[in-house]
Amino acid sequence: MRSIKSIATNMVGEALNRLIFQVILIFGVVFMVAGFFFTYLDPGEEGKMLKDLGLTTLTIFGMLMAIFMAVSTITPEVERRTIYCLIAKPVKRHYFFLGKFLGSVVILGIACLVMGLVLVLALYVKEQVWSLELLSAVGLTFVSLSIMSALVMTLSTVASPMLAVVGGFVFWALGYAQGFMHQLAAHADNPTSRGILESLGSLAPNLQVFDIRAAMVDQVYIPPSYYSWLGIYAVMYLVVVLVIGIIAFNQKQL
Amino acid sequence: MIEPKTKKALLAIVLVLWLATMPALQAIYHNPGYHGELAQWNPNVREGGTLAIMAMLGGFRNVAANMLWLQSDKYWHQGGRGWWKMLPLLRTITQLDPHFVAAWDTLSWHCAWNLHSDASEADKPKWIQAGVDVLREGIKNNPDKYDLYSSLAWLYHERVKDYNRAVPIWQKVLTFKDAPVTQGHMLAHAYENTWQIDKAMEVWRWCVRRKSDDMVARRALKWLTAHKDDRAYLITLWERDNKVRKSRGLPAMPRPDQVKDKP
Repeated sequence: MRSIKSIATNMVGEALNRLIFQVILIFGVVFMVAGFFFTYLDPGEEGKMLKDLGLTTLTIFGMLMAIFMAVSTITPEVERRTIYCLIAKPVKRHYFFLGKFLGSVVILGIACLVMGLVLVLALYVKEQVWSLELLSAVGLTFVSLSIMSALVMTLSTVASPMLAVVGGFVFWALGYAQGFMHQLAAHADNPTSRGILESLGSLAPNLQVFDIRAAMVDQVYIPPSYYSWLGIYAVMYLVVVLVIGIIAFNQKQL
Repeated sequence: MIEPKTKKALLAIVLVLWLATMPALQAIYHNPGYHGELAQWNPNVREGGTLAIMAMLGGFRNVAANMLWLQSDKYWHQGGRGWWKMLPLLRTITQLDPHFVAAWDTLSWHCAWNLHSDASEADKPKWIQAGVDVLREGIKNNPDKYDLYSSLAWLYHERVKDYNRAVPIWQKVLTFKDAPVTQGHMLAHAYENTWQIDKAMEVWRWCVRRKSDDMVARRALKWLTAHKDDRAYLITLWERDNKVRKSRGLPAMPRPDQVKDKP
């Protein structure tokens, strides 16, 4: 456990100093604040527009961060050969993998918290109301980003960084197109194509269920049981992806 | 390296957990917190063009709905043919974001007032009905907000001039805790227009109880107390209302002296 913690702490320190993290975070915050100046375009619905733009900015920039951060966790260590120093010590490979994952989750958490607080603050300046309910949408976005991070890390153990990035974007699109996939499958006449569509649908994480942005912006009530089920689903999916990642990383010839 | 035995066990765990995600997803789909309409692909979204389709697949439907909202505002200012172009856009917005109450409200108002006035005589009733249908659909998607009930009651009251249908909807509006006291004014007016003066006064009193500085309610109470038995004056009002109804091709309301307060 101590080695996982050390690897995660080291990863967070490194990532915070990395240019890509800083650039994505700064752009995210700038976009969020910029949304503040565009609300005049939407007369009567300024608050809604600001919330929609803010939460979407957080999702897009968070997703970019999750994908690029996950790709740059393992491959650079192998390329720079720094991984050999670690593996030569009594640090098991799965500790290394889990440590890197935990590190990226902490970074994503920091990014979500910063962008979420900037959004809440911008809304307070605009409407003089603390829209803290938006933080639950931010929280679920963070969970979906963690899933994506685990997925891309796993991909990067078996594929080149470029392929892992492309795979990440494909899973992102598939994750949000689950409803569409199920509908397509239901209408498919051919059982083979139905099977392919269903399997594709269930292989990708269902990111749509974590997307409560619209409900939060429109102040629709979400019962606590919904969050519990999402938690169960997220944990199960994360364990599946991480175990596959650990197995693949253990098999990798270094 | 992982031992083959451990690897097999891990893969078995992965398989079991992956299979278990499916019932978990089913539980999510059946939870009241899940907004199924947002996860479904709606063919009507095609009317919104590439932007709407991309947004639906990329998870950015709300931003797309806002962009289309801006576009519809542009068409509104164009008038004429622009009004007709607004229709599919507003429809797409409500499909992309079914909780966007202002979009449902605007779409209904656009159908029942603007497009109705621009339509041919034969098509006019269709557009009022379209306005009603839009609000009913909007209410189905937002049953816990009073706004669309209020708009529906207003539509029946002001556009259809069917005060009897407006009354129960205003009553429903007043069951919402966040409904402002002005909604009570509307119910009182609906009672007045159906000549249920005692009930109207009861509602005005309720408004005063809820907001003691409600001068509109106080004035209305004073006025009704003075005129409620002045049938000649009420008949003058009735004739004025019927003139408007006649110009819109609506059936006449019964004379006030033929109506008694319903129990």
